[in-house]
Amino acid sequence: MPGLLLSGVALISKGVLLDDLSGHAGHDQMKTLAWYYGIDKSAAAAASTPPVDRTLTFDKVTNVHYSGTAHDEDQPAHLLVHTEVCSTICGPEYGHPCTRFCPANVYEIQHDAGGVARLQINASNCVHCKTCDIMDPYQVITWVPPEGGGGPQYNGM
Amino acid sequence: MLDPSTLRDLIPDFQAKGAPLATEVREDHVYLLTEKSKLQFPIVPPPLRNHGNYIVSLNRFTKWLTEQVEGEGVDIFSGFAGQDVLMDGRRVIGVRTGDRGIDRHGTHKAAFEPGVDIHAKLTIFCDGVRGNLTKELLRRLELGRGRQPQQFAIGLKELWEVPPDRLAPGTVIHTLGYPLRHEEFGGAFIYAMPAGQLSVGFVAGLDYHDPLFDPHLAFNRFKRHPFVASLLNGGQMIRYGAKALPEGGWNTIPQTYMDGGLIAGDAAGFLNSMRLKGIHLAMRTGMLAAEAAFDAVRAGDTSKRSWQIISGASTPAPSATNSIRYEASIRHSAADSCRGCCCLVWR
Repeated sequence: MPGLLLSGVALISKGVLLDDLSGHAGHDQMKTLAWYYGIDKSAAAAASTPPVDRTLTFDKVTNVHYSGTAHDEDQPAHLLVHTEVCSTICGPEYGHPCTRFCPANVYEIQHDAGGVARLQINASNCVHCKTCDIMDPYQVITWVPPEGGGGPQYNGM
Repeated sequence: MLDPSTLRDLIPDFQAKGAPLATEVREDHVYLLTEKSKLQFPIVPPPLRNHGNYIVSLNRFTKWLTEQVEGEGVDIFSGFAGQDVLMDGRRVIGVRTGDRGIDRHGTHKAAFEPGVDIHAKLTIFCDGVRGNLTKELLRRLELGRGRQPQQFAIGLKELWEVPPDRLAPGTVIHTLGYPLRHEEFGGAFIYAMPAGQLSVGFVAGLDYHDPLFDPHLAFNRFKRHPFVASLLNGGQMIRYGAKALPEGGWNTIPQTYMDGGLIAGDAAGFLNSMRLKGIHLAMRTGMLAAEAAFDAVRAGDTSKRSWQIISGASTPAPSATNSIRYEASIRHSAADSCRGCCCLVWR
């Protein structure tokens, strides 16, 4: 909101005022769980409850179906991730934010028998939005093109 | 939403040629949403006034543009992606396409086809927001030096079919506020098209603080708002999509020229986030790049120096005086529309 007002000032003054404010890369803005929630984990639990009724609101997997995205399943994942970060640092510090900012449920955390978090990448769900490449706080996700022809269809969108 | 100014310059008789512009904008509304109710802005802020613009399906629109271009004898090859930039020192010499027919373990399948190297005098990169090739160029040639880092947002959109009496076609609604909190940037839109089709979208800045923030969940909350639900209830969601948007504006646009290469469109961040529009700027920068490319290739000089003539930093070569005004014209055409966005990078 404050930024919107400032942009209005810049627009009206044709850029004379507020021409050169400095910015930060967006992924640097994400705070750790401890910083943001302190020790109150109940707020964190409430934030992650999804209201889904499948008529007005949908889960990500259902939504992805309606994007018409399709990839050949038998190809290397086109999302290159340094997965050693996931269980060691990213989980404790940020709670695996890739599972939330991805709008297509590409990233899922599974726990193995020893309870260690392991990242599962459902690359064929990808709708090529590039959010993970941008927002991952450690910048360890790289989006590369999948085999030609794969991707969302978006007929009529 | 399409601002037809560029289209008018590119194809003046676009109406006669059947451009699929679903409907012209007739009404604008801007609301501030609280959790249970809404507050209408008494005036529509000037950047959000959309009279003269069209609600389009970008998918249909680009298919139509393809037909127009192919009708002019231009070949378009699709179905493969640029995987790597080919460089000779600091000069771009082409693009390598991806291999086909590799299985999930990285071994070659029977139908394996290696990628091909496509060499060119000039390569124009239009690989979209956070393009994988442009990202590589920015890193290797430091094209972002002296500029602000790009700011992104994520946009989610659904296409709905609802009873046709809900909103008159051509109605445009923008909202601020709920479900976003004060610290989060973004908003939502509802565009009404003919036959009860609604385009419902939600945009959230990718600079949020809360590590548990989920844009898709926020979109669901938006749809459950009583005002939005009253428009959608009884209807059906028929399409879904998501895409990041470069919304940092003027001060985040990197250097768009290099030896043997130009960058255009979303890849370079040409989107006016105050007006929430980028299609016309993508088209405009594409046209400027094409004009510059035509002159440069004809003059036989696609070096960085030839693009820089306009800055007065070097002595113009006679052959290139009329050539590369790309950077200059881009600055001229984008300045008006992009300047206001500069502050968003600060927010």
